[in-house]
Amino acid sequence: MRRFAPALAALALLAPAFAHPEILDRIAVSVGNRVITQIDIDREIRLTALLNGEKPDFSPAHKREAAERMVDQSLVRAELEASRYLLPSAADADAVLKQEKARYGDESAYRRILAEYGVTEEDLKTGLVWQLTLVRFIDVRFRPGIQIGDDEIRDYFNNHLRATLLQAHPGQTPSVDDHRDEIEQTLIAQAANRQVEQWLKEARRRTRIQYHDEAFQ
Amino acid sequence: MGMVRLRIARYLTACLLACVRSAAAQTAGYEGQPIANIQFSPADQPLTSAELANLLPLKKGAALHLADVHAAIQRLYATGDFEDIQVDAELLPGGVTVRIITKNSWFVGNVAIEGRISDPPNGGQLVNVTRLNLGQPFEERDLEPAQNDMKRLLDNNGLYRSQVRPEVSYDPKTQQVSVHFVLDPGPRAHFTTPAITGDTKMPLNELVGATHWRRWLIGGWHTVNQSRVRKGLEGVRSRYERRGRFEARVALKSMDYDADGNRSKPSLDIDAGPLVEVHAIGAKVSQGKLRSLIPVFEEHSVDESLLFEGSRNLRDYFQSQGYFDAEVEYKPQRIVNDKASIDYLINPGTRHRLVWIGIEGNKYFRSEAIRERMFLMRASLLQFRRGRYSGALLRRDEDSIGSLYKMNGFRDVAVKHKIVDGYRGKKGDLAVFLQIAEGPQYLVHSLDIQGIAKLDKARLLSQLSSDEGQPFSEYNVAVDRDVVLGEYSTRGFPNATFEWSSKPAPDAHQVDLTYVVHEGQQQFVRDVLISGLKGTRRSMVDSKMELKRDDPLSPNAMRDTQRQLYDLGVFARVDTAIQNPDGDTDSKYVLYDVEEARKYSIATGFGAEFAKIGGCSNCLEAPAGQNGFAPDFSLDVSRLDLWGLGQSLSFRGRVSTLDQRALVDYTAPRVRGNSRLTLSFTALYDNSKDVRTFTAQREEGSVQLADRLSKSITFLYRYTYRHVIVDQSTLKISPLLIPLFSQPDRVGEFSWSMIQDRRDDPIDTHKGIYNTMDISAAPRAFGSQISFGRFLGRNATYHPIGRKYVLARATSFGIIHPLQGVSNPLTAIPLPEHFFSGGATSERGFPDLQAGPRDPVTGFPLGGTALLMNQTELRFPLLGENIGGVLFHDMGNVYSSPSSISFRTDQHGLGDFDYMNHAVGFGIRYRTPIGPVRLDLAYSINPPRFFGFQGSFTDLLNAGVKPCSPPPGQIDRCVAQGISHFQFFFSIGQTF
Repeated sequence: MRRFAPALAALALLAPAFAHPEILDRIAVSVGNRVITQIDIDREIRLTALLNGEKPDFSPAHKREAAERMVDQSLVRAELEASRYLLPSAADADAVLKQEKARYGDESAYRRILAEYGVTEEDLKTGLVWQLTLVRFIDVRFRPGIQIGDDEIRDYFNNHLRATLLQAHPGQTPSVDDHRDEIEQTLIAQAANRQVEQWLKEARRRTRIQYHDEAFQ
Repeated sequence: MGMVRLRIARYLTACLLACVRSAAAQTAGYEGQPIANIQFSPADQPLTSAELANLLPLKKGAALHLADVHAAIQRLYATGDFEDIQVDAELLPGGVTVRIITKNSWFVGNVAIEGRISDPPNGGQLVNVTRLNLGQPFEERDLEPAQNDMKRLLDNNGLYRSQVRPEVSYDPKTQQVSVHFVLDPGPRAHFTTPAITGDTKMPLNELVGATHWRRWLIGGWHTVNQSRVRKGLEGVRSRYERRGRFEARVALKSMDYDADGNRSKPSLDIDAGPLVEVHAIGAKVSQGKLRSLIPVFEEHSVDESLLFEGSRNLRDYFQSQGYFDAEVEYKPQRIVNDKASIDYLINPGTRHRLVWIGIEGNKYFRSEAIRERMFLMRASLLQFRRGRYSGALLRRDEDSIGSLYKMNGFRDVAVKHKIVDGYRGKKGDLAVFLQIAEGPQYLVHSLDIQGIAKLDKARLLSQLSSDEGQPFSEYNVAVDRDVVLGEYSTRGFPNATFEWSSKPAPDAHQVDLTYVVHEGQQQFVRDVLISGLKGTRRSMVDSKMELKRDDPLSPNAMRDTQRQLYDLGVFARVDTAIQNPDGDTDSKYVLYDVEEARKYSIATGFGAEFAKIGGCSNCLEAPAGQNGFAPDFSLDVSRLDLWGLGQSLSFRGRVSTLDQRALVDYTAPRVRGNSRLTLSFTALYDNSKDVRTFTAQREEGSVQLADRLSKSITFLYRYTYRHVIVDQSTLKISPLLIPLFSQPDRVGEFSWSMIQDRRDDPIDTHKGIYNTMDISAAPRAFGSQISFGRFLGRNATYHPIGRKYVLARATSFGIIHPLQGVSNPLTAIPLPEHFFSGGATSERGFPDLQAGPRDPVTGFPLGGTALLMNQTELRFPLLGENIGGVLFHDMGNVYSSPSSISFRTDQHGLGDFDYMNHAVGFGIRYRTPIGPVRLDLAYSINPPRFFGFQGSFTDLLNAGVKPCSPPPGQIDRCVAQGISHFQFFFSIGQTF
């Protein structure tokens, strides 16, 4: 019996793997002719948690939220490919990664955090580049067509900024002209966001999207 | 500010799908393990093993990487053939067994309606509303909206009690889904008194009457359908329009169904709006013209854009009338006391004539070539009496001349105009001078084409416009792009792309041109799937297929096949599509879904003929015919697609006071699978008195083989057997000839015909050739009582002269001759076999079928055994775009024998008809979609004169052997008379 002990121990260790087939990956959502798999969602949850400094949540509801975000990403990605937008260069990618790494202090802390979240450096870099790509996409695709009128700037100033400025600088009369550029940029960004949301809504309507509920259990 | 954008970006953040090294912890244990086996579940997959192996990055014996698993799922899914994919793994002693579990996708195949279809809506409308498109992905959840949309359509047509049940059948082999909707339409609801709200300004009864939803005279209400609802609303609007309330708004709020009475109550909301008056101030314009020019009337609303459009239309109208400086403005609508007034202020200015269009500076193109492309036209006597001119047309012409030059490499061309009013000192005369500065012509110095690997480059190059030394223009590049991509598309490269660039060449005004082609992946036909066949045989459809398995997937071939299937005449609808068009695979199913046409078609028609066909049928008056009227009725019944082979059996009947005809025809196209050959059997009964000399009963049977050798040439081989009985009592000829001409005529005839048709438009030809030739032999061996042969040929050519004029001519020649020696062919050949000609489509100097020899006593036509005719027409535009004119000259006649054919123009005595008649005339053509409506007035220069007999048949019998040379003491009843110099014809279609 003692002769078989090592073999039995090894068998016991591998028992779960030999016991039955395991799912390696599966389709969670299909968007047009692209798919988002279970592993994609898992990675999205980890990466988002890392960037937000939160604990990864793999509950079905949270998986569903992550899937929704990834559907939007997939739609944007399809648009980027179809329209041949200029993508960030390798130097851009290195720069954003360097900036992100600086948040974690030293290299060892950075590595430890990545390991804790189960995220590789390549995942993180790709995620950051994707953020950059999106910002540029919004700038190129939506911002140029946005015009902000004087009335809108004045309304924003009166409704959102005046009270804050009076409170911050009592006794001074705030002037809209001093804050015109700042307000204009804010309003352009808000309008761009609204257009992005509208565009996503329309793209979802146009695209065949199918959720596979089994993947969210 | 950047934070806001960042928020969106953060929201959308994720890593790219290709990067999957951070696999889930529970599956990490498989990473790097050797793959012992790859299995698919189910074992039968829509893709072949080779295709699967080609797609999968996972290989047996290689290490398993989760990134490859992810890529495998993505690639398999991208084929479009799978709806769901899961990859399992099991670690066994020899390595990992990878199991790929798939669920197939399904695609829409045949969608049909079964059960009784209560039209409207028809089957096609019901299928369309489902939005289940051939070849597109299908999911069961698509059925509910399809069913709902179908039910909505049925409800809208009053079929509220209808029931629809889908029946779905799946074909796992082809992944096609057939969806048959089983329909029980139920009874159709009736209208009931509508509920009308709003400011109607009209009594309820009148409004209800305007809808026409209530039955006229018999009372009660009509059944509901969409068309009636729409027409009802239009009827109410129209009623308001007639009262001058052009802004009336009539809206259908709802159709409320009362299930107990199966009635539907329409609810209308009406705002009658004010009484609208439109005034033209400053110029006289009729109300009818105002209505046609100002869209306010048609659109039932008044807004700035419609008023502006109205002013522009009025200005164009005045400019077209010669008021080239016309200015039109409008005053906004004023509403006072329920009256709206719209005033158009018109300053027509001086009336002009465009008398000269000068083109200067052009060297590369002739002025005529430029003029042909222009809308501006000089004043002409008839077509445009004041010319055609407006500022907009002038700009359009400048643009089109500029484009013409640019297309030919003159990139710097500039076209300017100068207008001279009071040209040559004549007030109101206008001259337009177009000054063209051509500039240098840019030429292609070199053409470099990159990327053509899978097609014949030399062949493709030979089709390009932008060759070395040729003009360089973006237009030519665009043409080349279409040629290249068209060729790739035809050869199954749907994703081929074309890019071009140019740079200046060392020589001045020359460019080096580069085309870059990205071919993409070639696609092939996996198979051709045909659905929807019920009675039609598959073999017949297969014979029309231009695509077969493994052919390059050509959209052109798909469309050609679709057209050929329509040409079979047995399908009401032929849809074609590629299954799973977006799927990333190299071989695709090509789908054809057909709907068979109704097997029976019935058509009835009423008509009338006005011509010189009058006069009493059993008296000897008016041998040249009197103006007469013959109403007719026709009935056609056809049984199509007999035995599923596209063959047809038709009955065509016609009854008029001149002709009673019944024809049964059996046509079998594609004899022995040859699409060129068509075989037909025909049986005919005809009782006709269209030739005024006699009434004949014709019984005829024929068999004909048509061989369409090419698009323009058809041969016909025909055997005909006919039995013609001339009614002796109707023969209006000399009694001496009656025994000869009243003989029954039995003819067995074999004939060969050739038709060569190279006309650009058979209905209204402008150029081309049309030749026909018919040669027949009727020897006794074929069953004829008298042996004779016949030849009839016609050659017609059409020559455009400039852009406006067409010279058309046609020459006909025919002879009939006994095959055995007979001295007089006219008496040897049975009367009904003679050539009878003259009239609207032959020699217009004669009434219909009145040319040629005549009876020496009665003057009625006897026809002849030879025919020679020539027609010449000059066709030209006359008034505006749709009315044309024709000047014509017809010459020729029907002769008693071939040897009697003569070109002399004078008639030698009253018994001589072997001379050439000449007629000139003028005609008007009005262009319609079914061909030009034709009115011809001919003047015969030398019409025949002949003896006619005044008296009855009895008088003729008693008149002796020579009625026109009676012995002394007897009355001479023969009176010299002739055919009128003037003939008129009214019909549809050109003369030839």
